[in-house]
Amino acid sequence: MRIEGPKRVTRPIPLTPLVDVVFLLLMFFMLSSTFAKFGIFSLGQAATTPGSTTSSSQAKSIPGIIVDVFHGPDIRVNGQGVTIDNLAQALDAFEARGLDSAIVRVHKDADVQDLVSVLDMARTSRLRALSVVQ
Amino acid sequence: MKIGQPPQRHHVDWQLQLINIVFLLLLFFVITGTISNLQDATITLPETSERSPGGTVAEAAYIDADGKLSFRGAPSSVADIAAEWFKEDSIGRQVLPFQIIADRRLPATKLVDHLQKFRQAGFRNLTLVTVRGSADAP
Repeated sequence: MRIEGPKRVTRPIPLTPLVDVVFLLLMFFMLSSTFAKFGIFSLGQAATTPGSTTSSSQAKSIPGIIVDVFHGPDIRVNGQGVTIDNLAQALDAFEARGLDSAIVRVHKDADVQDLVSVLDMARTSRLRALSVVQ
Repeated sequence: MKIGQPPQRHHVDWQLQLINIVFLLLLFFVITGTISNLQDATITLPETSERSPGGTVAEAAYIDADGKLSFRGAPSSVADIAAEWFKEDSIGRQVLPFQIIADRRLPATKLVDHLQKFRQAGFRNLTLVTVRGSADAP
């Protein structure tokens, strides 16, 4: 007697469980992901890298520039009011006269955003060192 | 009377189209998003321009708008953070960048205070996490 082998059943791929899993993955990525691009803002490596130093213990060159930061940010460079857009220019003008480091003095009403904006802008200038005091 | 056969129903597989779209959405989120591991959703990060280098958030010390410090999800002090951070490898970890996540509304004088304490505790390479560009803070 000839026995036929089992019939090959070609079943379609079950889509429903697949959709379930993919929906779960989609939910996970939608909820856990963020579109914000994080920046890593260096706050100084104790006097090693020139240009972007924000160390409070630097006394190699006598800084002749004092940048006062108030809320806003309201900026005074050696007493003169400067807007945030003109800050780099103003600092470069001092650099041209031979002063290459500045002290950033934060006042009571300034918040972190003011300080970060000022430092971010001041780093585009040609100053060699910035230090932050209060 | 001869009745013609009923017209063949065209079977449309909606499930297949659905899963195509869902797969596309999934790919979109996987590619464009980065998984946020900010542990404190109440903190709004300060903004910087596109000039500052980008990066990802690692283990960080959180300072909220009132100046309260927390680390690994619990309120902490600089000394405690230093003790935990330098427990395994005290020399190598001094030069590793350590991230600080501060609220943008925190008074800057308090941040400077904290930074000084961190430096005294032995952290040599401190970084502040910001949001680049004018995107909304997470």
